[in-house]
Amino acid sequence: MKILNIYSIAVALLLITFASCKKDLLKANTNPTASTAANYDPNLLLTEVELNYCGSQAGENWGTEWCGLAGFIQHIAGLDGYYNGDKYINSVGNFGGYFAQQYPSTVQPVVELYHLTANNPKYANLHQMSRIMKALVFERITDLYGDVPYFQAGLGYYERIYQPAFDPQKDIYTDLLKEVSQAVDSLNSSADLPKGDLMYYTNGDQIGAWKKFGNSLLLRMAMRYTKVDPATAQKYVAQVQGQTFESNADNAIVGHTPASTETFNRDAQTILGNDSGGIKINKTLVSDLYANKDPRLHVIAYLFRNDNQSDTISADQHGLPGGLVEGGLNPLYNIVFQDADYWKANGLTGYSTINSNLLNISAPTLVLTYAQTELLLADAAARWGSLADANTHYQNGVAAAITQLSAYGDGATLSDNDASTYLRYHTLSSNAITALSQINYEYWVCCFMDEYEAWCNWRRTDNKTTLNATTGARGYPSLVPVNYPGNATGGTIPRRLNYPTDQKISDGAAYKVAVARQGPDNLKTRMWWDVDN
Amino acid sequence: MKKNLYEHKIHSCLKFVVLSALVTLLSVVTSFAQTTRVIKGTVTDAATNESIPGATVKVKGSTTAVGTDPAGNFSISATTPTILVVSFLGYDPKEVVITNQETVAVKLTESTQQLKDVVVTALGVTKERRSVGYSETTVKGATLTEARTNSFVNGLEGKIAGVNVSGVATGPNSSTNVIIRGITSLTGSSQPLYVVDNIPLVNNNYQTTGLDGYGGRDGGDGMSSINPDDIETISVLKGAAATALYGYRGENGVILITTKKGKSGQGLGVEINSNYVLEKVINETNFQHEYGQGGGGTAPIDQNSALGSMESSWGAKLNGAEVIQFDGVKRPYSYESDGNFQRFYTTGGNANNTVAFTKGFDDGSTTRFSFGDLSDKSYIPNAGFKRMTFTQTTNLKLGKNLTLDLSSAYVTEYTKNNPSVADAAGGINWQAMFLPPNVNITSLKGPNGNGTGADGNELNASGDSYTTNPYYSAYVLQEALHRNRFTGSANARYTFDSGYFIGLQVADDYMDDRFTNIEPPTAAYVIDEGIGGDMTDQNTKQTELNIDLTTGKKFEFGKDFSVDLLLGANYRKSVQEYLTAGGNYFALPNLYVVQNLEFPSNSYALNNEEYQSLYGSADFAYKNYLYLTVTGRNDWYSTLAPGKLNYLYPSISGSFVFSELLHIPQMDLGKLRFSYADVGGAYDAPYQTLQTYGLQGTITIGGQSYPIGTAGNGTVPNSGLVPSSRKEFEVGTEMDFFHNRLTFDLAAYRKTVTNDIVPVSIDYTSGYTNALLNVGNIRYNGIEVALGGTPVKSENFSWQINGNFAYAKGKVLSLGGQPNITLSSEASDWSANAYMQQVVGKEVNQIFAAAPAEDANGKVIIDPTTGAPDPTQTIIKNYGSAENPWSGGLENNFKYKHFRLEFMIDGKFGGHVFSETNLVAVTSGLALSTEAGRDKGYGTDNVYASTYYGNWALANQGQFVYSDSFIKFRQIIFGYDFPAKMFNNKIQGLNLSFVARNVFTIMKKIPNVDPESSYSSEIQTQGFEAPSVPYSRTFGLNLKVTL
Repeated sequence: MKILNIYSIAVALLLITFASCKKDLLKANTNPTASTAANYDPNLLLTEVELNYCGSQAGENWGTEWCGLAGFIQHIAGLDGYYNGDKYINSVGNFGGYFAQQYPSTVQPVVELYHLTANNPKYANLHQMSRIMKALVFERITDLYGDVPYFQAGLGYYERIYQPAFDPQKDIYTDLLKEVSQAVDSLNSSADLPKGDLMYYTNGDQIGAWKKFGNSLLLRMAMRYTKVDPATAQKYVAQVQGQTFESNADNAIVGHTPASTETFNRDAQTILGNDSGGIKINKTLVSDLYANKDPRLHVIAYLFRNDNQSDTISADQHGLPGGLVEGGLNPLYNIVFQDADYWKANGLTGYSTINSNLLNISAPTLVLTYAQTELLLADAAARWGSLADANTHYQNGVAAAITQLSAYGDGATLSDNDASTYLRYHTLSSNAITALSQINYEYWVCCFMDEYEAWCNWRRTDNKTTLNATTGARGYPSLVPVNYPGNATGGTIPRRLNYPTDQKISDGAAYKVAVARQGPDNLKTRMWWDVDN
Repeated sequence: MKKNLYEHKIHSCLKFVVLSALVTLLSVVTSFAQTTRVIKGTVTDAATNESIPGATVKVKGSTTAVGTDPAGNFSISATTPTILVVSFLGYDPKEVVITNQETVAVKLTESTQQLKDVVVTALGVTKERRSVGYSETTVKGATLTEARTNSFVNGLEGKIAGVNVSGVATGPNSSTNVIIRGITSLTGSSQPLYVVDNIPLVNNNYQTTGLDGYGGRDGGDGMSSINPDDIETISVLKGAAATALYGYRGENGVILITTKKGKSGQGLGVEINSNYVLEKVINETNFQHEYGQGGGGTAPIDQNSALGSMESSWGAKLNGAEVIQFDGVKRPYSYESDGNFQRFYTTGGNANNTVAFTKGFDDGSTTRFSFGDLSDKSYIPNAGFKRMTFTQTTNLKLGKNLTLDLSSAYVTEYTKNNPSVADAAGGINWQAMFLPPNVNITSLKGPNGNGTGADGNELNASGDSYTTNPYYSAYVLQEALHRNRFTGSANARYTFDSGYFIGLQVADDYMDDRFTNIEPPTAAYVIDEGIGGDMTDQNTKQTELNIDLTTGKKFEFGKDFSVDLLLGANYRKSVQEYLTAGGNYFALPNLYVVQNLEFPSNSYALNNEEYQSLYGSADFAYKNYLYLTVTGRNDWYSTLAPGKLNYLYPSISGSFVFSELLHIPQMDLGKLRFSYADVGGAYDAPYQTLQTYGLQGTITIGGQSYPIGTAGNGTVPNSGLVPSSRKEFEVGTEMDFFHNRLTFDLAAYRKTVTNDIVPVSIDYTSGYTNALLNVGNIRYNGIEVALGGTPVKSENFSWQINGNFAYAKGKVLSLGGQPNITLSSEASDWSANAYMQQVVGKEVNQIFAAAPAEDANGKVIIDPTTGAPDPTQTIIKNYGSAENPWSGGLENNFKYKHFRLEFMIDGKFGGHVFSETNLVAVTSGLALSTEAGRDKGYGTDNVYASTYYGNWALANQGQFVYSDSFIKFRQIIFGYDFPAKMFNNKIQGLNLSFVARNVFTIMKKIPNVDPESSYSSEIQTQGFEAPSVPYSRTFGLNLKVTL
């Protein structure tokens, strides 16, 4: 009996111990060196999203932007195997890079930010900002690839969707416009002031600035409808009229610092870290800027003279023609023959490259600017409104495009006087077609360093009517394509980027659906808003 | 048959009658003539006539017992006539009838059965061998102490069927990969649980070499802390049924170590073991020595071209001319590299000394204390391993009901410069391996003898800063691992008079590691990276607490039936704490401490795991031939889905000793066994069920600081994780014949792992690259055979032979709908293009490599310009599994009088390995195969032999996948046991032996490297080889003295 008692006590003790420990197990599996959703400040994720939108650490800025788009759009050119976007050679790995890197690096945290702040009054404004940022992030992804995973993207954790479906670009855009419109309307100046906001936290009127940012973004998205659905474009242009950026002080800018790899300027980090010797400014850009006596030439370009001294004198700048290599059997595509005298005298270093004003570890990223916004408004007015309005916006846009360079520091600063001088010699034409060409040339110049946007806007403005039958040039600005042997487009400027090849395996079924709907996965297939009319 | 049975019955009846009569007779006799007097005697070994001290002499049927003195003498008082029972561990007990003699000489025969009759099973419970329903193998610790290895685990290689031991060739204290009955996890660790005297020992591997072909350093594992001299036996529990009582921890098998104890009733005993061996590198390379350094058939013409061609032996025919080398010095262009390994790798020395004191008390209490010292000067220059172990084990009997077992161990270890291996920056063997035939490695020493130049910077002997001068790697790069470990346990057990017992054990394994790695600013690759040197100083504290409460009783129902019940509960808490300081840019030169770093970076991490378990077992026995064991264990995990509570792991095993029923001539034991069990596995990392949020630095813009956030770690956390499951069915038989001169053990099993927790690749548009899912499904079928025999046994000569053979083939059944999972790729700078995958429907650990493109007819497409395939146009082909399905070992022990000769051969067969060494040997022009056809041009472009051979090598990397099969003459021991008589019994035993390990390779298929040259203990790289530390051979002396 006594033994039985001891037994009962022991067994009871055991059971009590176990019954009381279940909660401890849960606690034991909570990482004490990290935060949980319950105690995390989502502001930190806004900082991450803003930074990663400027490029992840995985190098898509280099592979996609600089080895690809910047060459397509004739901002840069190269002779080696890296910077060959100028030749429309399909570099599948590089061109798929933006897609492959932005989903894990930027879509993931922006979706997290969206979910962590949803239905939480403490983060009312932060949530609206997450919607705007999410739209900004997806706008660029779809602009590069067309149909992409959108509605199911980034939901690996929240909804356990591991193989997201690709959505039609039209549906994506419809939702982007809806999201940004609603978010702008929901921003509330008496609610929270998100302190993780690199772009506007120190702005005196943070919420007001975000409203203008959201509306400017809406304008840019709506203008993508120019060719495919002008009515929708006009509707939204009307909606945001007068509520967009009002000066360069409103520009959406993300700063960078040399403190750590997380804070570096990605363009500089990737170009300097890979090959900074081979990247050259395209002859098209240098010639145009020089011909226009553009004061920006010496700010964005410089070259090394034979004595290895850097030279920023505008007259000395020499652009590299696109579509060439050094050597090879065909003299038509050989720099040694095509620019024989200059090449012989100066070699590769004699060609202008990106000025360190713009290309350094601490240089800021200009995400969306007053200049771009005004030029888009000018475009809209020239197409659907009055040339007088167009002229006002044009003047504002060009002046701002010149003075916005001060964001890159004193070395890059141009004065109001420089701007007005330039404008004096570049008045807007009274012919609407010419005016559109002028406006979008200026857009092309002011998007230097935002190659994604430069390429998108060229595609937006390019249709059958812009074809110059003699030169084969198309779009605004009028770009003459090259036809380098073995290029991937048959000598036309690429219309979209291929998906990364791993999509064929990792999201195979969804990929096939997208390709069947959109067209072959190559550089020539046109996406929804890029119709050829 | 019927008749036999009938005869058997009669036989039994007869036996009973005769026995009863005898007993009656005896009691009658004793009642007649009873006198009490002193009986004196000696106890000796029947074979050697040596005295046996410490033997127990007991009067049968009473509590009177004495021990023999050091000379084997005893004297005991008894009432005659009587029976004395004389017993000693390791000998068959003997009964001596005493009527009226005054002295008696008892000769004991050494038991061949001693270890086999009682086996240690899960939770340290000893059971009769006949009752155990699953395969269990026990190895004596003594077999690991003579020809020893720094980590005793390596000594198990080839000894036990189904236990696959592979050391890693990464330096003096490298880790070991042990896989029992194949892997249980497709991507994680499949290493067994180690339990020392009931204390689970942590075997973490805090630093492993990389999985990408770049290698790195191996930080050793937890098992190096054990002094083999302290081991009495090692029991290996292989199957799921054997380990079911360990629950999730037994998923990969369990290795139970029982340490030596004092012997009750014995006075002070002293045992000394000294072992000294030399260690020498084995050079497996067989390279061409006709052509020297250079390119395109010409020797270097200036210092630059010499630097650039340090890994290019495509030069001219060696002709003895004076040719400039990397340092600008002209030396004869002749074959110099023979012996480079021997010049660079020194002769190592390894000294082991253990002294142990034991004392047994009359009440049955015992104690043992040991001190062990190991000093290993590695054959790798400037590297080594030191270890001191202090252990104590005390078993107290406090009254008749209470026992208290106290054990503790303190171990201090210091590993110096476990080197970087494979293609890692700083790697020690890369350059040594691929030096051109005309370069003598000693020319790389430089003016300071340590691989630095006059300016103090690394004397970089090649154009590539990442190819580190081996002398610099050895003498200037620094790594140190200091470990202090304390293990302690207290185990109290109270047995009630009624037979119930309650036991409580508290055990803790505490380890403090300090790992320091210094890359001075003088290293060529550090200069290249522009980081001004860097260092890491990491402190890892690890503790594992286990509390076990057990209770039970054996119930007997009548004479024939018994049930032994056990109930227990376990609480386990494991914590690892990492505090890391480090950074780059040393402000002051030559001062390598963290406060001298200009850009410091610190980090802290804490891993917590907690587990709770309830377990029970019931052992049913019917007579002495039918046994059944049922166990169950319920585990609660902190690392898996919260809220799901019931993970119950059952097992059932049975044994039928048919030899008790059927009298088969010459059969001593015949037993059939079967078992079935389901055990679970936990995920081996905490915090995988919840999304976590953190920080990744701060950005300061315009005076305003913004901390940068981060969500998750790229892997979708899974709050629904359940344990993986290993279900295993096993049948087997054990048979002993001819008085145990022939023993046979056969086991066949089928093991199915389901729900293996695998980080599955998912599409990154989901925001994540992996999701942790319960999807892995593996099946193994295996057979294990152990055969032991004593073909010759006479007074002076005996020959014992033990062999084992195992087959285990695993197949990936499914991966949750995915066709495959990529484990790793060998993607170093040397254009290796090989990777490993788990593929559904194939054996585990498949090797894939580049193969030349083929035309529609399957013919290799040759690029006409080079005459070789185009390396940029390759296809990926499958080259088989890295796992060796067949393995075996053979031990022979000869004894002639006092001489002993023991040797062991072991081998593994059927696996494959991709050899980067052989790939680079071809591309660098060192391989013998590149000797022919050097002087001609190839293809329409008339390319050099280097291009032709190089393209063939890069386009067809499948040719560097070799069979991994080998047979090695693993070790030999030649010893002499000095008879105690020689020392007037002052010394009880003295044994001197000559030992050698890794004697030679009998068979292998892979050229230029050792078939066991793995550079990582991770499963992900088991199929890859790259220049790691070359294998070594040890030989020396072992001296054992027992006082």
